[in-house]
Amino acid sequence: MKNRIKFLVFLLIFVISISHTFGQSIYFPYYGKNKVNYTKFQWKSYKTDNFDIYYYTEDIRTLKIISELAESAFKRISLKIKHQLSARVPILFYKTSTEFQQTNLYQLPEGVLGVAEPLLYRVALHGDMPIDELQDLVEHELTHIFEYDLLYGSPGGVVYAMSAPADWIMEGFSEYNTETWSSWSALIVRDAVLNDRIPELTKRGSLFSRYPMPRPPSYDFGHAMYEFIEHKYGRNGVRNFWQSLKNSPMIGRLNPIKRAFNLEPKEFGHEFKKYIRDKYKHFLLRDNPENYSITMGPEFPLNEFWFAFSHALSPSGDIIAVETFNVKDSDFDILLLSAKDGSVIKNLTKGYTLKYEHIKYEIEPSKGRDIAWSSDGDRIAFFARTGKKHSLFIIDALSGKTLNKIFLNQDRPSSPCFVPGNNELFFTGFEHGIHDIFKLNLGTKKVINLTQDDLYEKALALSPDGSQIVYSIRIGTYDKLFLSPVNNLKEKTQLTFGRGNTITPEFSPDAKTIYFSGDMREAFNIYSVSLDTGELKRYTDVRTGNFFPVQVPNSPDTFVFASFNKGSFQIFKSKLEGEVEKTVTLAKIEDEEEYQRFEPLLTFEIDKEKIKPCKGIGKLYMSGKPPLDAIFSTDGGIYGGSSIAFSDLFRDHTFSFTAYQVRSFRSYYFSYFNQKRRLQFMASAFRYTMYYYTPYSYMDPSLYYRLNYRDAIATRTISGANVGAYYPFSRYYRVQATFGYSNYAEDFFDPYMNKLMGGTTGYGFFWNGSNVSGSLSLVGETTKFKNYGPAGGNTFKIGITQSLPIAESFIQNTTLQLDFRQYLYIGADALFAFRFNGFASRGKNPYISYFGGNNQVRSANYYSLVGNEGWYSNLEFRFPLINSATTLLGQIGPIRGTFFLDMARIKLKGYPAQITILDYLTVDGENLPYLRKVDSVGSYGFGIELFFLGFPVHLDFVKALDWPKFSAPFKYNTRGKWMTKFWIGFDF
Amino acid sequence: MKRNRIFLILLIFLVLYSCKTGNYWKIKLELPVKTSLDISRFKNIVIANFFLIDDKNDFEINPALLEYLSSELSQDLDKNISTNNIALDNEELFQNKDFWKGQAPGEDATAFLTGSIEYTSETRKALIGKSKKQFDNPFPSKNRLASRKFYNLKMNVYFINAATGEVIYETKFNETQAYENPNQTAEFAFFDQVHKVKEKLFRQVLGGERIQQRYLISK
Repeated sequence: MKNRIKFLVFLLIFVISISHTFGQSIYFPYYGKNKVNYTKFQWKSYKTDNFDIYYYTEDIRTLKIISELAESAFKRISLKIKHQLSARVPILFYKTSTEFQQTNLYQLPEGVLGVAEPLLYRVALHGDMPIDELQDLVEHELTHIFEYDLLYGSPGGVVYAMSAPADWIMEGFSEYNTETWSSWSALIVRDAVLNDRIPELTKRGSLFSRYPMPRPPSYDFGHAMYEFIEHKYGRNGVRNFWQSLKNSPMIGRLNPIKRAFNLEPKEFGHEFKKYIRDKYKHFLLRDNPENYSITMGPEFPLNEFWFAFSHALSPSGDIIAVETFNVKDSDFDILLLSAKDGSVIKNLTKGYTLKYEHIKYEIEPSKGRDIAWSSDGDRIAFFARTGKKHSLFIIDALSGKTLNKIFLNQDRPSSPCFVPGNNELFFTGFEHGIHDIFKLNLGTKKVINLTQDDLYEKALALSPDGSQIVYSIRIGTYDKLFLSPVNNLKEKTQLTFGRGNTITPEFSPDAKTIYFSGDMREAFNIYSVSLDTGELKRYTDVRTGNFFPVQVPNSPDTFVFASFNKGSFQIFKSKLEGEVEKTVTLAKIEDEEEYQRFEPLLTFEIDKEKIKPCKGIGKLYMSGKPPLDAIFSTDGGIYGGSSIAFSDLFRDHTFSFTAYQVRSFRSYYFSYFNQKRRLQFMASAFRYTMYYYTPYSYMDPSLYYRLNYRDAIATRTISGANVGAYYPFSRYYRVQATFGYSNYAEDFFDPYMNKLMGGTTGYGFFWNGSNVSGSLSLVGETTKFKNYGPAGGNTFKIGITQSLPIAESFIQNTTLQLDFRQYLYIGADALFAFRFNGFASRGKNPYISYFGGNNQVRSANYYSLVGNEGWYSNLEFRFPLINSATTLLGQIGPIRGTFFLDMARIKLKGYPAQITILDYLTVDGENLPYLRKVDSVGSYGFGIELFFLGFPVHLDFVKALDWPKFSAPFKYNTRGKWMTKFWIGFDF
Repeated sequence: MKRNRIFLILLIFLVLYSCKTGNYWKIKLELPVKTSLDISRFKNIVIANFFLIDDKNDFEINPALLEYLSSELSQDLDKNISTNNIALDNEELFQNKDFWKGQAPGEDATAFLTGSIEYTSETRKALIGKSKKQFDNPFPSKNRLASRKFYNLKMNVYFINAATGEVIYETKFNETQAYENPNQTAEFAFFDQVHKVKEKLFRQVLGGERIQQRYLISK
């Protein structure tokens, strides 16, 4: 089932599947990072005609705004597409983006603005944006709800859906219904059209782009497609298109274009391309950014850096600091580039760090820069995510060493500006839902709000002497530039007027001119306005967009700026001549002057009597389509299972039931999970049946020749209930505790085996009995993952479980467990991976643990190393072979190689810490088997891993090792022939 | 077990063998549909008001219908399409040649598109045994009263030659649609149904294509 998420930058379409599988840990060996709920939301609800609005702010103006925006959007969309929704729409409104990311509905990465889901018709969004943009967002998400209603008929109808329309049909329609083209969307489309990179329509009607784009084409080109439909088939054409989607059978939805317009996708795509080329042909004669100069960078795919999100020129003018995306490391970095030839001087933030989660970026230039260079040339400032919010980082401009880190309470800080000659920094950010300008003292770390108004100030720049500040304010639906003295931001002088946006301002070195970007000619060009004469000059006439113009010091007509070209921002440096367009009269604005505010279509008053607090759990709903999981292990066992979950509207409370089966052994699990607060807790009841292979050679070595290990299969059934709590310290570390009762029943699966043992468990290590125990664990996962698995960092879990002496008959033991993994990334997707997993259980009834097979001890049979104490260790060198391969079976990849070395020891209570292995002795040319006891076993070899249909498939070539004496680790034996092992599962 | 496996393999082989192509090819042809009305002789199409039979709806049908039809006809016909608010008091007027000749005096090659509409709705209710909404509350009530809104659109459509006042083509439509959505409005449902009428009407009047499957035998 697809949920619709509107992204500012990169799109990730979620397939929601709630997995509550608690299978063997080998299949899902990661502990996971923490989702920290910093805020306890005190939800309140308010019903309007068509919506149930859920919010938690005290300010009733927020409720009024969101109610008016929602009802306005509903009226407009309903009349436009002539459809009435079958159910009310719950809107969950979060005041800030960081609070929105704490929602329990989904795991939302940074950049998500809103989400609409088809199961309950929920819309969740946040308010960190100007009101007119919030109206667009509401319209976008609400259109998705209309789409679900048209396609599926009612909330939850999606559960029965077998197919869904292509993304562009859904996202494009949502964008189309906003009736707005943001400058950013228009830029993406215009650039692609003029560079002949228009995405293609596939046979199945999906949009496909051969070239990288800042975001998937379904949004922007989807919007353009609908405008094309309206142009060619009239306003009713769009409605007819959706009628054909609505009325077509499930399979017919795969080709709605043929059904609606009697055109094959290829023909339709051809007509669309003609239309869109015609629409933008008047831009063809304008500047091509590549004519300005050689590219200063980034130069993907010539190097691994793609996209210049933000840049800052050094005071000397010969180095450019660029915030960019490192494609190889899948991370954001700050580079130093030569302003002479664009060569990469240094990556200041290379590698993996725990100081922050990621560097903050804004793709939309109107928000301003994200990095700043101090006037003394020594320091660079940027923002990065650290836990709940962001921190300001100041690093050494040459070495990248962190000089200062200041945690900020403001949301989405942007536009850092060092104050020349002062230990202060200006920036913009959200505070209590309002976007203002702030001043930060870098020594005392004190922050002062300099504007404290309801205007949306952004993209600021300081004059070289630090006495004046220029910034943009959202007036109505346009950004306009204003100038103020630094010591009094209430005193404003408006610099730009009329239609069009004017953004990314910058002072000239002599502070007499402001350079900025303006879209008065549709595309963003570089302009200047003289503060003395009011002369407005235009310097470029580009086809796409030029931003962040900075005059090079001591070079009056030379500028460094970012230009959007072929799907990304690149830096250029060029001598530009300005043409005077007109002279403006700079207007001093009186403090009490009313600025033009955005007004929604409908306005109404809030009835305070109808505001109700949300108490208790509330109504429960199914959380999603039950998933189906299947895993295949080296002993030929197939694991299959599914789960179903119910949760409340906010997913703070979840009830789930999981059932799975391995071979013929079934397990059930029921749980209640409360994740409303930072301390999360769970209550569960369960019945697990697991199996392993007992080391029968302990009882009677002669059995080794009459039975194989599969005959010694034993089962363990655990029934019980427990409660657990989990407290995250940060995204990476947490403490968790459990307390509960369980009953263990272990025995041989085959009664014949039991009879062989004389009717009693001569094995002696089966656990049968009841147990009341508590456990405490410390878990940490800083591991960074790429598409193939772990790529850096470490993971650990250390825990103690103590059984309580409730009664003499109860099981009693103390168990320690340690799981530690370290990943050392070398580069080019090659890394060393190390794991140590140890356990020790002592007491009257020590716990049995088992391992072996798969990637634990490859030479051992699956789960055949059994003991009360033991450990295994792995060292692997993993490297890429093929990134991606197209085969007859479909896309497979990446394909990776592994060199591995395993080692293990195990001990059963009452027995020496030795393992019996079967070896062969050559006597007179004949191989005679015999049993040998060794201290450790292990293996080495080479393996290949490939990803097929999302499953990691392994083929290992394994040679068995053993160490007769653990104290002599370099005296080992190899044993037997090379074995081939096949298994499906994730790397540790 | 082994015997069953061999039988299964043989069966699969036989099925695959039978699917092999013989000495013929299946081809699909798009053939033009013959129209019931030759509209090519008219340069102008004037969409006039429709006579409303027993209109109790809360929205204005004629403006919506005229705007819709003129927009759709403009897309598919390369002619002058216009609308005209001609007052119609009764259905007998459609057969009154003098009345229609007087509506567009002196205009050659003009045809009127008009007719009568009856648009009604009713709500039907029934008891159903079990709720199908499993996504909802896990403990739903057993018996539920389900209701559906039914909208019925009856249209008589006439093409009238403005020069002679004669009805040159007439056709009838009767569309009914049920909605589970209790919020569905009459106006929105009207558009759903008039879309179906338009598809059928345009096929009759403007033609289209139908697909026929033929077999081509080779020696």
